[in-house]
Amino acid sequence: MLCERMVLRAEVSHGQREIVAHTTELTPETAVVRTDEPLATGDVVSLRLSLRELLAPIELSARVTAIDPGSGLGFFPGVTLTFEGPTPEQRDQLARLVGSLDGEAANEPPVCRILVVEDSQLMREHVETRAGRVADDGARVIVDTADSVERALELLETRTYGLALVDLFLPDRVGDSLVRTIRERGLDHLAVIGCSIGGSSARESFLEAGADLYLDKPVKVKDLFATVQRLTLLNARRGPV
Amino acid sequence: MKRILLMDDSEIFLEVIGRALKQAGYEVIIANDLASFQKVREKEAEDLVLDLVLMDVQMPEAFGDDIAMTLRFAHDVVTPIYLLSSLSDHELHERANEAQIDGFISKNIGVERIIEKVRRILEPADPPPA
Repeated sequence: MLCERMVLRAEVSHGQREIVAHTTELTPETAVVRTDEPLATGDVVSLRLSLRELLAPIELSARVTAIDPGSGLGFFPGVTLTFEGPTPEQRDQLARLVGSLDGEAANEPPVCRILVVEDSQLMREHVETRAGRVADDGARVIVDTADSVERALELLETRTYGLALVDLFLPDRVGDSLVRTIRERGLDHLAVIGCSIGGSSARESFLEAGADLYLDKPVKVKDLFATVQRLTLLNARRGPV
Repeated sequence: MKRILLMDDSEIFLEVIGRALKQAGYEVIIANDLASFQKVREKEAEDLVLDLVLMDVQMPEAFGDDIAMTLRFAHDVVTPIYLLSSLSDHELHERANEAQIDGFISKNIGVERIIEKVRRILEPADPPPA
């Protein structure tokens, strides 16, 4: 679940240091905390999550599993904290907290977060530029980009995406192997589009690996985003099936 | 000598138009795919000055208007950028407008008129005396 506008207080204890920050994303397994305090991947911290007047605080142990440097003035890095060994009671608390945020978020425009895996810097910049210019049409499109399979897998570990657009030729592995890994990891909720200039053999490779759709390059990113926006809005109107 | 970056995936077109532009007195740098285009951009970041970018639209890896838009908005490129394509004028107008670039030249008008249009862009007539 994405709660970009929800400010959830997060008190992080790391050694002797006490950090008060806010959480921008929360799932039953992870929290993303915005802070410029020096934390490193692998650090184990104590975490206290609270939402004033809505819920009793939740205290649990967590490990820093990713740090996104953030972008733009005033944006702190996003530190992903993965909860360690929550008790059944804590799991219930987290589920209730996520549920209450879902309720709060019901009035927010629906969001589709897209992961674009593409080795061309120019094309990554293009999708980011396009994403910044998507018209406010009742649904939001948020894009992350990855230049390799390895980076894509890191992002998939820490964030929930609705759609991944995967190029075939990537510097470390071919894109269809990423699709196979995505399916092996059980990320069945994730719609995957393979793309390439490779024609029918690329199409077969992607579809056999578990992609939902294949598109020949060039992909008109503007049209893709408009389609995603419409489907996101449609899904939100229909509600859970 | 004015310097033009010409991006197109058609080797024949690059040869024909490239030669005509050189005969007209311009220096021409050619890019036939994203990788070669990226190399030119890296040189440009060092010291290469471009006076005009001519960009095909339908290329295998990306649409030229999408690349042009990225140059404008992600790289703050101020060099004039024109689409050079055989798509209809209406389509080219829409795409150039959307990408917020300087305009388009149709390939369908023939080599001589393409060169004439390039000359008008790079060497606009002196304003009449006041």
